[in-house]
Amino acid sequence: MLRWENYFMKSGSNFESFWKKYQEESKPDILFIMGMGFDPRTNNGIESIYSFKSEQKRDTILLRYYKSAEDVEEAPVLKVKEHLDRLTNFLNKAGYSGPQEKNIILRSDDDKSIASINATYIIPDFSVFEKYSDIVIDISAMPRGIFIPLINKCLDLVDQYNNVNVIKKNLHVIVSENSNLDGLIMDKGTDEAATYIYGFRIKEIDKTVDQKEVWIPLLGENQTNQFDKIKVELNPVEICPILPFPCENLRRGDNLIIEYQDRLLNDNNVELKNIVYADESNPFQVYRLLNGTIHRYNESFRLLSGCKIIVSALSSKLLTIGAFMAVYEKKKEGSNIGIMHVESMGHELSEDFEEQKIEIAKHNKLFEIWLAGIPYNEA
Amino acid sequence: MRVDINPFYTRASDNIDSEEKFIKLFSPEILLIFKDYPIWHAVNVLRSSPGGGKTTLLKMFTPKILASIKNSKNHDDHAKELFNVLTELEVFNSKGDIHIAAALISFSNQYTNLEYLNLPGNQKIRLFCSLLNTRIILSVLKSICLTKDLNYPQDLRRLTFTEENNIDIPVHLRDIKNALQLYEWATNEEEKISDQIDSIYSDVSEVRGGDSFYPLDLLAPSNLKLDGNNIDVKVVVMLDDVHNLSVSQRGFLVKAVIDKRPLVNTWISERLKALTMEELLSEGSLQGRDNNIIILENFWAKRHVQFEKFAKSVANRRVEVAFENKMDFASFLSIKMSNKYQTVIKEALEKVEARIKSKYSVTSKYVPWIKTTEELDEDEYNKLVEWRALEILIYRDSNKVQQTLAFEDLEVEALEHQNGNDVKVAAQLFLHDEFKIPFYYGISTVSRLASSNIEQFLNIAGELFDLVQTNSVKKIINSNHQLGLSPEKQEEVIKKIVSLRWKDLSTNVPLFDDVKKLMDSIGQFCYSETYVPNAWNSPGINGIAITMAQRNEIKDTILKDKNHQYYKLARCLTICIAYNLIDFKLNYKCKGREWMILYINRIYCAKYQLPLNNGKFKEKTLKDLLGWLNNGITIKPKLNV
Repeated sequence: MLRWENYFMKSGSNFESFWKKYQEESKPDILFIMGMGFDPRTNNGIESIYSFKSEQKRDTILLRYYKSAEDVEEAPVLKVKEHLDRLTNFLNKAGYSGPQEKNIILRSDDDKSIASINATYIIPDFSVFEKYSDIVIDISAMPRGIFIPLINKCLDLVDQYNNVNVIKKNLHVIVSENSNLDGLIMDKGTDEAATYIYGFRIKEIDKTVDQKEVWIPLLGENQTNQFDKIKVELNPVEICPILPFPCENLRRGDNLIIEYQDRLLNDNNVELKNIVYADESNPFQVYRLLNGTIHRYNESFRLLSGCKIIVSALSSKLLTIGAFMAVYEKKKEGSNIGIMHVESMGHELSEDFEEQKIEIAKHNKLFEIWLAGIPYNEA
Repeated sequence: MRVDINPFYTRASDNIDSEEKFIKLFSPEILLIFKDYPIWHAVNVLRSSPGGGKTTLLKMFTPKILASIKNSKNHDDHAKELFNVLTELEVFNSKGDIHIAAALISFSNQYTNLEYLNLPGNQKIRLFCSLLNTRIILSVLKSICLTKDLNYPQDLRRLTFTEENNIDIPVHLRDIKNALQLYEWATNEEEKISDQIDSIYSDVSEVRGGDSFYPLDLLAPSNLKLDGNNIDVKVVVMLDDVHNLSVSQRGFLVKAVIDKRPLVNTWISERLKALTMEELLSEGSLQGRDNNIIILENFWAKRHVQFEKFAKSVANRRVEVAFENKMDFASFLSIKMSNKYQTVIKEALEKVEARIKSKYSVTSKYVPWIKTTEELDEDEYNKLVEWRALEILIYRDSNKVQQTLAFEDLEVEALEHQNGNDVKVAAQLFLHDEFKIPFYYGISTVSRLASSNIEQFLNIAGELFDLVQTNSVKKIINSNHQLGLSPEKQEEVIKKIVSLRWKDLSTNVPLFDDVKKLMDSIGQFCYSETYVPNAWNSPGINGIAITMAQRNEIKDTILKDKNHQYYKLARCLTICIAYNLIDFKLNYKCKGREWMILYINRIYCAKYQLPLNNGKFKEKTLKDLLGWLNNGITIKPKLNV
């Protein structure tokens, strides 16, 4: 049986009602981990959950991103400062202690990406979680290279604890999704080459040299450059693209096929029948589909010394979480599987945002994904 | 496998899955680079900008490629040609057998991750050395098996080690009797270290092995016996993509390998950007008796005719893959102006001719010059160029006093002589500027735009070939449709590529805002010095120079002091060199002084409408450059026709 065969997810108005009821009934001690960025959704999650008055612990770890160690001393950009002030005021008013800031340096002195290594070290060990019953990670203002290694480490720590303790620790991932807003956030360039996210490197050693590569890219808009950079690093015998369907815009999958047509249709390793469609608003469905796909490839290649499976999330954060869950589970089972991505050098909001921000904000939708703890009754 | 609709986009260094295809795309001219170096008797350090062809070169020496050349040399002329060149390089012996066992090891970011783990420094170095050592061992053993037709790994038991006392191998390996035992130890060790590096917890257990690269001695042919006999191949270790290592890892590796003088022939390949700022300004500071520093672009820069030949050969191999018959890529790049430009040319001709006649036909000295030009039997465009060249020459002659004064102020010397052609090139540039008549077209231009970098050439040629392929489809419908591209189409494509590349730099190049200001200032300065009525520096300048004394000051003083007023300038200059925006030449002697010349990379010459010829520059001081970096440049155009 799959680990998340039965799952717990709430979204929209159910998100608020769940957290209200949960806090009233279970009285959790919460450690909230969030990123601080220019993204207008930065504070949505914490403002929603911490708005319910509670006498329990309400602590916050705030991740601050800096391109280099030298930038730490510099004043934050205007939008980040606005969000930071807003968060501080909110916590003050609510009577909770201010956030504990943790700096993440994204690039080394010699301009190598160190974001995912540093994200892994944010939570050095389980002692950080001891005082809390629930750990909430809000990924709304976290880049992929940060939240995947962070959730990986937290989930691993929580799993280790829950495996030997009767009272479980709960791990929640929340995200404020808004595809309209996503469309207005632009990449400010990408890293020179694709790399594995730290903790998710496939085993490329002499013992696995005969294993063939299978690549599973989750396709998203405006990511063809990243797609190409990942492809250059790989030599897959099979490519199994994942497209969003059902989705709010029913033509989204077709549009993506058009956007990637040269890459998909001129490649002998892409069989159109290999395309998998996954619900854009349900990471657990992506998880299930990916799990099945990975399982089938592992079975097929078993006689040929196995295979290396590389997953690349070029799509939304929700789908990325689904991909993460599948890879996490399969890696624990011993599959040679990894996540490759291309680090973004930065993001910026389109100039059109200011004019449309009120209308756009109406489409914000909070998702609660309960990854580990009580609902799963781990024994 | 991706279908190669446009084979110009296939890179031989990529994951080409067939040896035959790799060989087909490989042009033997590049192997000339090794002719002047004792490559088998020293450590070879291969450097270039991205796309210089380093990995392709190294891959040529790997066992499967060599075996494929050996097997097909009797029925494939190209393979035969490669075989002959490689035999001269002693890669094949006189019997035609493969004489080297080369192991190609690439550095991924797995090694770099190690640098940033929460571990003590000495532990990081040990892990780094241990992982690299296991990979050297495994790659070399596999390479020997492939070269000697042994089953890997089973037949490794036939490979034994002699007892060399002077080889410093770790104690725990001293009991190993044959290569199979070494293989088994190395595979387990590799897995263990890989797991430790990728672990999300920083609890790495003690690593055995120290901080030396012992396999570079242990696996020397003199220490190996196959079935009890001496092994008759050279063992070669090629360390590729060394630039992917962290600065300290790279520094440690390069120094350790060069200091070691290893018994195994060792190659190091890296991008220029991996070099320290000091090394960048020194053109390979480690050059010595025991190592060969080979900078690919520098090799070609001195041999442009050979580079053009090489580029044409590379292009023609790809055309052959696409069209399945031999065609000359150069033939697609028409140098004849299209009908669309005939009217422009005609009007320009009338204008220039009238301008000259109205100004100079009253001067008896110039009458025969004008008459000679009038009588030329050329097509309209060439006539126009001749008239414009005449205008330059008359202007020079009529302003001799000023010209002499100007020359006294200038440091000009051609590295390659144009035999009088330079005035014509200047005339073409002026026509391009005044009448928008295309200047950047033709195979020579495309190969010059490459700035001696083969990938840069393939990128430009690939975009042009895209259109050729479109034309080939149109030709099926209309047999009169031309495959080739007009000069204006070529120029349009080239300018689009330049503009896209420039845009990409903004995200790839550190301190880009400053770098851009400096580059734009140099470009605008060169433009203003090129477009002067007498074209005194024809065909134009595309570089500046600082004295070697100033360069030494940058290297020895400025770069070591972050608070120095010229530090930012020095940093920008090294970034320009590392990211291939500027090509440079050291110790150029002129007027009793020595200069460091900084040439704008040819592809960006197109951005500033500069000529592509090498050689013309003007001296500048660091103070001038700092002024440009801080305030930009404001120069009024001098060419006012």
